[in-house]
Amino acid sequence: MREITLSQAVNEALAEEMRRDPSTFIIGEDVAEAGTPFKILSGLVEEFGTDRVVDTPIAEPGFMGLAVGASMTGTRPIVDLMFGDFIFLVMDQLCNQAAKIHYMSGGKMNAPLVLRTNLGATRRSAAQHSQSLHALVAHIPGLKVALPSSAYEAKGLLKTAIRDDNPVVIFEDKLMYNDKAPVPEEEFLIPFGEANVKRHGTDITLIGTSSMVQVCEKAAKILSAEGISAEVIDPRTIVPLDEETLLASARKTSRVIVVDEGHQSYGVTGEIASRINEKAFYHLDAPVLRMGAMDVPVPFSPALEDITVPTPEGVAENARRLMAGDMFHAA
Amino acid sequence: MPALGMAQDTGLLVNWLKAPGEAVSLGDPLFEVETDKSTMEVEAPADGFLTDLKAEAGAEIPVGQIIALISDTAEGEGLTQEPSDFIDTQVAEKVDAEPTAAIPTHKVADPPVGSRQNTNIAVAPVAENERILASPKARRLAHEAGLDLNRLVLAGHPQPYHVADIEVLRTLPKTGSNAATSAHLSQITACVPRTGTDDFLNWMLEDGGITIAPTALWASFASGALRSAMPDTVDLIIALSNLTGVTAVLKNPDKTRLLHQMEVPDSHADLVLRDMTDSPITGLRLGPPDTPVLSVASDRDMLRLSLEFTSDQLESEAAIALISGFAERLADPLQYLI
Repeated sequence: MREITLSQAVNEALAEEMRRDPSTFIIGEDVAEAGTPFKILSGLVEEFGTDRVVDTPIAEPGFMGLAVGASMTGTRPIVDLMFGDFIFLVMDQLCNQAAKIHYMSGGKMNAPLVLRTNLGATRRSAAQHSQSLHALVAHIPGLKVALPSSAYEAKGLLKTAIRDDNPVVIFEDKLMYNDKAPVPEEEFLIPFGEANVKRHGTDITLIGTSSMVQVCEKAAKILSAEGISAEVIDPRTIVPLDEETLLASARKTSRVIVVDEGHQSYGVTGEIASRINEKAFYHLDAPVLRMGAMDVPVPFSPALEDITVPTPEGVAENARRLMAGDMFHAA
Repeated sequence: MPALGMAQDTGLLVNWLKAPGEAVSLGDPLFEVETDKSTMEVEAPADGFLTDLKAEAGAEIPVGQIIALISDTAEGEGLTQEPSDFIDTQVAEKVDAEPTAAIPTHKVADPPVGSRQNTNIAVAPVAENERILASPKARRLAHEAGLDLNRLVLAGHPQPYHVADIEVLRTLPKTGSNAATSAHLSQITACVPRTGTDDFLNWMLEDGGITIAPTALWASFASGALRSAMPDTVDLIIALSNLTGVTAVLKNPDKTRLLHQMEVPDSHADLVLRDMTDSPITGLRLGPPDTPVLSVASDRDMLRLSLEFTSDQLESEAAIALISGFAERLADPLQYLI
């Protein structure tokens, strides 16, 4: 199968869906003339024109509000938010308006829009351009949240998001735009709420999101050399969450580590760990561990930044301790 | 002599690591014991002085037998009890029956410094009362297989337990029939000065011309302390006994006047209150009782209290609360009667 970058995969998904559905359009900063800082949208304005690839001023609340209104009146906007950190600027439009309009209108209106943005540290972009804020929106009922872990997922999940009648937020990892993966040429969709078992194992389950899937896969390789069989699972969407697949693996291996690049406290790792504790408690042989980003603003110093996020070695070390029956945080 | 291993009946006292009368602190190595498997040091379960040594190095001693006391004074307690072979287990708890209070209207001499709080060092297997650290899955597997995690504790297998340890548990030899679940006799002892009771009864007699039997006062207090220890109970039946047998059965004596306690026909009692104060006997252990027995014995100017029970009759927490509450009431009767 051919391999393409995550950027190309996103570009293909957008182009295919915009050809398929004339009610779709892209809106955001530097989406047409400059083609976004990550060069993801190259060629789209040439094909679809400035009516469907719309450059905006630097005014995130403005174009997000515009997109919500447009989605309620018959179009399918695909909003480009240059950095995930800017999501704070569009919280009211996204969480109070888009997420709730279907409910507030008694089902008479909905907001079929997609907000494309990104997450991920270690790009030396400092504290205001390096955050992973998906937990913020996953907390709000009415929003779906997808976290592609490769070019394949990026394409399949984005196409599904565009066709969904609900507001969907997709976080791409900004360090993975140039990573290649096999992506079929023929059309495909990835349904929401279906986790992907990336690697089968029997001793411990590593649940990773976004780029942490790669971290878990590398950890699994390290562990495999030591005779520890790790299962790696990518939930792909955290709302909706494929609990069944996660629980089935937890019941099988009895040990789980949840790895996510958001801050560890009050985050995605805590939510998933808690569901496993609640629903697979009597099958657990060890506490479910969370591994998130350190609870600090992401440092600008490369040396410091690199130690704030989970690494394959860190995941492998925790896995070894769980296997050895070490006590974590217990007296 | 603590049980240090599975199916251990006796332990060889290799040598004492502290001298008689020497001060010891919680956790200090007290003596060495050799079992069929290994030699282990036994640590002091409380602060105090090592006194009343009843066993010499080289002796083979039945598990559960008292071999010394940890006392509040270097002089010790003058332990007179002979070793009893039939004790399975003892809960050795330090009961703080602080003899501080007095009848408000009466001046009571301060109790002698370092009065008779003592702590037996015959320690029960810890597994009886402490939470065992085990994973949820290990617990479930053990439960489904009818295996008792206590046996791993008693075998000295290190915690926390995981699924792999359940396999170890499966291979452990079973001890005698249901040894782990049968009712063990537990005992808690305490001392209080008798001035509290005596002064109150004398005061009632001299000031009011009212004669009250000590047993009526004790029955009321025992019932009250048991009710505090087990707040869910509605009616409490207290049987009064002496060394020859039951003398009266009282219903809720803590809720009636001391002179008008309600006698009921002989029925199953929640607690037997055994008065031994007319006898020189200060200690008596007759094996697991049908009903928890609270004994009151006279020892010079002190009352010796002893609660014997089995784990299926009383939780150890409730038992400790019962004897503590009873001792507090004896030390300051008026406060509790008002």
